[in-house]
Amino acid sequence: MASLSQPEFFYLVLIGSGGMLLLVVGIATFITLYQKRILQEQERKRLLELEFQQKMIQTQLDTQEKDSIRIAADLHDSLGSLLWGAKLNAAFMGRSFEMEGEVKESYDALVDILDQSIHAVKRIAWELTPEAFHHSGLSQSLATLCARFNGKGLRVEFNEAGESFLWNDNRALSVYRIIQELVSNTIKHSEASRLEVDLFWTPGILFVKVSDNGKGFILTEKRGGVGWWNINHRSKQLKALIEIGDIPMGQGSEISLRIPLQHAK
Amino acid sequence: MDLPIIISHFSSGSVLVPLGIFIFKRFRIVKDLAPLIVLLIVSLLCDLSSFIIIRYSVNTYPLVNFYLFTQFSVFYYLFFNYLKRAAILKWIFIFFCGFYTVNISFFQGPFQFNSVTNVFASIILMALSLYYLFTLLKELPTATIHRLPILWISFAALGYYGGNFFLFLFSNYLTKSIDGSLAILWVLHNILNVIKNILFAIGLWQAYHNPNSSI
Amino acid sequence: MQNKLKIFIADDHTVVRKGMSRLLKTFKRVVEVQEASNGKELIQLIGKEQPDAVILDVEMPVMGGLDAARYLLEHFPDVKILVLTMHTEDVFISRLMDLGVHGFLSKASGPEEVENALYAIVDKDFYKNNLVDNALHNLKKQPLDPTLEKLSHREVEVLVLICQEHTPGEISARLNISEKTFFNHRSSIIAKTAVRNNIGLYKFALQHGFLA
Repeated sequence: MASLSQPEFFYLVLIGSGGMLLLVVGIATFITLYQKRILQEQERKRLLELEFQQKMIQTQLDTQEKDSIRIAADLHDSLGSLLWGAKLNAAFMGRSFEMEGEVKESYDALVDILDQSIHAVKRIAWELTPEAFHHSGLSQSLATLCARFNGKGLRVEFNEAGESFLWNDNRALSVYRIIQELVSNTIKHSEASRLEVDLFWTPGILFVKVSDNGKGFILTEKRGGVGWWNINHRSKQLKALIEIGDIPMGQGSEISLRIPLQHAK
Repeated sequence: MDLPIIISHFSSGSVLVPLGIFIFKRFRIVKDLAPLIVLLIVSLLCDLSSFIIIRYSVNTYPLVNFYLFTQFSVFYYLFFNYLKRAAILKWIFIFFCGFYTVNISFFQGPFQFNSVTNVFASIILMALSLYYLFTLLKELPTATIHRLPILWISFAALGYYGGNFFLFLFSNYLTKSIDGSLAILWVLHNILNVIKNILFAIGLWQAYHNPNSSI
Repeated sequence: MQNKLKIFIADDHTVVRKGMSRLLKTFKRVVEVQEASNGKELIQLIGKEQPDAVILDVEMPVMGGLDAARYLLEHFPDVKILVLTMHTEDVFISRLMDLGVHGFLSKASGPEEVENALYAIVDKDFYKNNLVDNALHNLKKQPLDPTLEKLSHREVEVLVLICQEHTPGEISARLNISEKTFFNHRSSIIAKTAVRNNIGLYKFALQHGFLA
């Protein structure tokens, strides 16, 4: 093979290194491009997943709400009415026969049981879904809620301040559900004797404080429950800020919510 | 020794890099890459035989033509596999084989460099590797693309045939008209060959170290 | 005072209907009871003969209590309506009250309450119980609508007595007027206050401070 002259050698080096450079640049570009697309794709997938998750949660919450309404309506219309029918028949019997002694006692007990059952049905149905929430609005429904739990060794107080208004949309219902969950948590676990629900309305933001004098949040809470799932996701949806704190020395707990009002008034 | 000769030896020896990895891994064959190993061995044998027969002044072009055809087939087969064995690729290959046979029998013959068919081979393989890279960009099969052996093989094909396309295209013209151009031609080809083998080595290495990364 | 009352019942639960029917027959003044399983059937029944009062369930298929009440109030204003419901929230009661329904009972009441309610709506045109009071206790006092014609002194007297749940007989006796004059006064008040019946008058009186 012939040896190379200097210019030939020069071109050789030029072409060789040029080609090499081109290849390296090509590879680098390709990989960079690829990585970028991968990242974009991952981001897209993440967003999709997030959206999907949000939708799932929304559906779940909606289903819960619908189920509550359905069950409450069923309780009222079937069980309630049937118990009422039983009571009417009992009343008829009471008026038709003169009863004495144990028979009378048993009959009275029967009527009493029927009464209690009817009231239990009404109570359960009401707890499932507050009747006429959309008519009464948040404040009114909360006042009723607190009034219902008041008594039996527990004082439940409801206070509100600021410019309140009839807030009755689905977001309001979510707020109601959160507070209902907090209140029933307190009643179930905290051994408190006082419970306070405070609303403070400001333009654009509603502040909620649920406080009690029980054994404190940290001691009472198993945070994994369905109740907490609900509270968390509902506040997330409301874009609400939830703050959970124990009052020092086991003097109860205090949970604050800061809920943006989307269209105040 | 002359520089072209050194580069020529260097080129012949470069095949030992991927083969070395193969030997180092105790001759274990990654399923998809068996044709590649065959190619490496053929390459080594061809270089060795041409090294011997060139001493007896025998024309080495039949050997070169044979080797280039084998190489084309191997690359083609690899892409064919990775491109989900599309039917049209089968037909293109059959057509190319016919073309090759006709050329080697009636036109350029086995005793000179088969530039025409090799130019076509270059075009086909460049197209295939580009197309494959494009599908990678579209499908995004894995987050760590550099672990994909076929990626490196694609680069090897692209670099090698991209460079050789021009060499093959002008080879007959250059060797006839310009003195010493044959030497340049072969030097450039050998450089490309070295690069190809290095990329093969990377691909092979990735194949051994990421056994699940082939698609 | 009528002593032979004809009562119709509408309820979709047969047990409730039968039970109510049996119970009603034990009431002294009730002589006839007819049953319908929904609003539509009730209206068909009433098309044939008019009862003194109907006892209406709110939740019924085909035609609910609300629609039935609306229809009856429009077409048979003399038929008194007693609504029985599980839903005792104020809003529901007020809505029915504004419609012109004469009385409400929760589906937990005892037989005596049913009897009293029935007699009250027949005799006094309305039955005032805690449901009505609860529904009205949030009512805000309002000044009189100036566009309404002013009530005469006598009319105010009549209004107050009606709201205190006196029967027409008692009121006419107390004011020394004939029952016919009483009814003239009452229709004049109803016209001036633009309400439908006595329960509307009660609401009106509360709202405008006629009852101390």
